[in-house]
Amino acid sequence: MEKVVEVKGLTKKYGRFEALKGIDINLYKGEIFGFLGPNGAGKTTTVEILEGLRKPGEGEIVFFGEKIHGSIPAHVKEKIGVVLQETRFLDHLKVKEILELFSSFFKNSKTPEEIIKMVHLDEKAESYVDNLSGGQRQRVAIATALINDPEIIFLDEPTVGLDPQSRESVWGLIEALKKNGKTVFLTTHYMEEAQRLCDRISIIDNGKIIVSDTSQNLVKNYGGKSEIDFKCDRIPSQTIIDDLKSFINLVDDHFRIETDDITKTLEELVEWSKRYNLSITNISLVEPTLEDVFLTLTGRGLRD
Amino acid sequence: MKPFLKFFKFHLFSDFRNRRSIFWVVIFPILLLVLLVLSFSNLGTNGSLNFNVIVINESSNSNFDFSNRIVDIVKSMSKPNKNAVFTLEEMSPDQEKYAINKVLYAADDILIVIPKDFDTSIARSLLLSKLGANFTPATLEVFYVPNRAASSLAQGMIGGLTGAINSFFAQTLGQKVSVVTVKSQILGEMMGSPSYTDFVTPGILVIAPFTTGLLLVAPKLSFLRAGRVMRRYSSTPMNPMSFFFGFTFSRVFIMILQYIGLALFAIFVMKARVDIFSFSAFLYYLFSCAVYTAIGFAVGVAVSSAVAVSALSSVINLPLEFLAGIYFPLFNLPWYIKAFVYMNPLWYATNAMREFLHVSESPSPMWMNIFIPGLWFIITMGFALTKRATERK
Repeated sequence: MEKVVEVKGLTKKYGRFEALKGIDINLYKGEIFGFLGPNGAGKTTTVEILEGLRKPGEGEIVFFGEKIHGSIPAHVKEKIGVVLQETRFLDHLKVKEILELFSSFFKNSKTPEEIIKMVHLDEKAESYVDNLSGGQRQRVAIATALINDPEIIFLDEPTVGLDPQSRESVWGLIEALKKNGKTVFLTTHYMEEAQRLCDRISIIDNGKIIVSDTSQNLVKNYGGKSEIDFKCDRIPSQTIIDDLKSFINLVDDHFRIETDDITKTLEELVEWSKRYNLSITNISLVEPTLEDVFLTLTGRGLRD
Repeated sequence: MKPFLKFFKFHLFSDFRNRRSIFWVVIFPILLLVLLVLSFSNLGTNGSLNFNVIVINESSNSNFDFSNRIVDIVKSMSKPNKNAVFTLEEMSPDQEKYAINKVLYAADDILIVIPKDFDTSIARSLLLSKLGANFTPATLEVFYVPNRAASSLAQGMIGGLTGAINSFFAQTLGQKVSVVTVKSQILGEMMGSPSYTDFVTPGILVIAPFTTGLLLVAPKLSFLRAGRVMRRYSSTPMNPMSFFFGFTFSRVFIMILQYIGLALFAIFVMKARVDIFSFSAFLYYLFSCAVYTAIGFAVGVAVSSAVAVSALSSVINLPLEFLAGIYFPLFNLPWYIKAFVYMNPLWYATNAMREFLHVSESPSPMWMNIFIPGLWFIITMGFALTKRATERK
């Protein structure tokens, strides 16, 4: 796969505080890369360095095969799109005018009309941006990031504060970017967002990347066991319980099984219930998430 | 060039579509001018029978005491004496310019200057009249504003006073003589005597761009920073100077429109007699626009919340405006307030604009009218740029 961004041993200090302690990141063409971490972990510092908003400390940054010295140069910025968290725009301007303004910043850009169509804001093109809903405003923010037809798009927590419907709409846009061959760098602390969208994920904590892999592998390797909770129409005897190969816990009036292979355990459970003529009710499955991965790796939650 | 023009255009769009901006930039200065003129144009013509008189006695001849006698006569007609028609204030010769301004701006009605050679002149006149020779009478200089009733009446009374003095000498000498004459000096001759409308118009032309600097620069900049709009711009290849100049020029453009609109309104509606076509006035106005924009930049980068900007703007705006001599002439201020006035860029701007618009002479030297606001420009712009550079690290 073609590497579009390579970061090696990146550091950043604010006075004596070490925000980044030598991080490595690779971004490949056409992937959605998730960058997860709690507040203050170094997520925003990293993304702002890559967006050209902050000067890097030590380390190496390579964009499209070109080694970057100091700040991100203008010709590299021509190829990147940025969506900041909760971006606002100049008051009393129309959506089309905002895009016209942003298109003037780049040597080559798409027309505002093309981008408006792409983000499904056709009906709002002549509306003042201050009259749009949160989700529509975020779509305008994404539109400004796409005006230069960038190769990489940096999205910093793009769905924070949005209602579920707007969030779904933004996710749809991000998935469309991937389909169009764009590389997406996504920072988030929404687990379902990362799990749904990202091909690969890096988790950062205290200025260090603690793990990088696909979300499936992360959950599999660090998420812990899945749980099956269920009730029976009657409490089976200890002999019957012991006959189930999986270890079973009686918690209040329901049972809980912890398992590494949820499918196999479910099959076994069904056979067991038939064998002893037990009727299983209220069954629920709890699978490990990236939150559990983070908990396992750091001993605390992502939102702590 | 392209982003500069877009910033210029869209910042103007943003402001002209905002009713609040329109009120503060267009309606407020016009309202202020109208209200001030309607409320205070009768200053000094209130029909008072007591006139404020300033006397400066430059004559100091120890052998003859005529000048002191003149002062005594005015004193006898002044408060706290019964039936006093004058309120007398004596000043030293080095305060003459200050005294002239007090009369010009209606703080006092008339200024009498007893010249240096007054005593010897009277003595010479008396001697020569006894000898029957021709002589030139001694002269009292009287400064007044003819179109102000109180000033004009006071001038007439001083004329009557000299008549009484001449009668006294005529009785003493036993012949008709005129040893003292009055030389009237009309104040406000640059465009005729200034009315309150003339007086206040240059001040309004100072307030309007200053308000724009505070209300259309500071809160906007603060919003652009707090709303992360500036950061968003920084993530693009756009040169930051395009934003800086596009934004600044759009502000200055609004200020120029204010100048044209207000000046035309003042001349054609309020009948102000100001020299709107003075190139110096316009150049100084542009210089002031740069200063007020810099002040706006400093306030905008100093605080990031809209509420804090609004509060800070009010804290800056009110004292600077009231201590600029825009609405009323500033006289008899305690030293600590005077110190504040001398640091106030609006005071210098008002003085300069009054002189350049040919309303009245500036009480402060012209180099100070440029130097002090220039200092404000350097300090505030330096602060804004340094703060911004620090934030970007």
